[in-house]
Amino acid sequence: MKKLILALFLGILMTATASAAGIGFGAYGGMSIPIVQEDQGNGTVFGVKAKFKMIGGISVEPNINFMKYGEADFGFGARDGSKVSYYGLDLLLGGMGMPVGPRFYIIGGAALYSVTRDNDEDASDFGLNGGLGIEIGFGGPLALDIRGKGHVIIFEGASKKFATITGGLNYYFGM
Amino acid sequence: MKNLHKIAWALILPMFLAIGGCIIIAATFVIDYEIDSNDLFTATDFEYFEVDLTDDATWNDHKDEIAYIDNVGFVMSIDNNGAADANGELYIARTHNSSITTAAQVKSNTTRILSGLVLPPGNTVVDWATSLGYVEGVDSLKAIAETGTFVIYATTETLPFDLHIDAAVVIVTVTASK
Repeated sequence: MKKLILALFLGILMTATASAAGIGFGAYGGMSIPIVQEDQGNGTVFGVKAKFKMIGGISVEPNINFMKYGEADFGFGARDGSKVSYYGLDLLLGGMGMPVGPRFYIIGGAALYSVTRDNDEDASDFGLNGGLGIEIGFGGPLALDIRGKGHVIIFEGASKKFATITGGLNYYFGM
Repeated sequence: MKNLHKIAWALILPMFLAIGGCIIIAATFVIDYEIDSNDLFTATDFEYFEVDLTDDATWNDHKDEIAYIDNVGFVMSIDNNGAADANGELYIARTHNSSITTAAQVKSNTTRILSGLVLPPGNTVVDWATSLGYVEGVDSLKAIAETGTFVIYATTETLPFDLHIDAAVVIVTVTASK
């Protein structure tokens, strides 16, 4: 199943690259929020992405992300959060192009997540993510991009989940 | 173009369903079990204390849904009343064996889970994060901890045996999944 999804996404990426009507890149940062993980606190996330526009308001985003959970603090003590790096490929519907003003989009993707933490075993596994975003164009090559995503890492028969809320800038070539 | 949209939706929608489903059915909990300090005076070369997580409401709510134990850590405040550094180790067993009367028997009949602690004269506090750096035998520790009831043995080889554990908390991080 994992290979099938990855193959589908890679196929889309190749198609997007070949038929890209517009290419851009973006950088972003924001907040990471663990979901039902008592041993992690709210943290930060940063990332960069490429953006390939296809026809019909569909676009594809390969992305690289670096995240750090915050400290988990209890009455008996505290512990630093995990570091998570993930390399993903997302598919977007809507929001592409360079309008002046806001355009909403829906986003879904897959990624390889690597989780490290002092004194825990390193873990690396496949996961899914999805969410909503808004891109606000300024009439030039730059656009403001704000999005929220939920992430699920499938791990040892269970899952680890978190949300990210990020804001950043996209730059489009040839605009 | 319609077909392209259908494919895009077909890829994105299952991700939302998977994310929604997994949010409902899996979670990670931190359970802390405080040891009764009256039980923890080390006048000999070993002492033991029983841990019963089945008293904990969170454990009871999820004991049948445990996917795995993430880790087991400790918080300990230990007084070394001697004049020299003392060493300390922790061992684990499913139940207490009443025939154990010496630290040597503890070592030969149970599983070591923490070693390398050096306790200078005076008070030493081992915090949660630091304790995880000393933990060993992780697989055995997790397997025994999954039962919810187990016995921790504390040992020292430093004479005279004059360690007093003021306070101790066992911290078990559990991931549960329905």
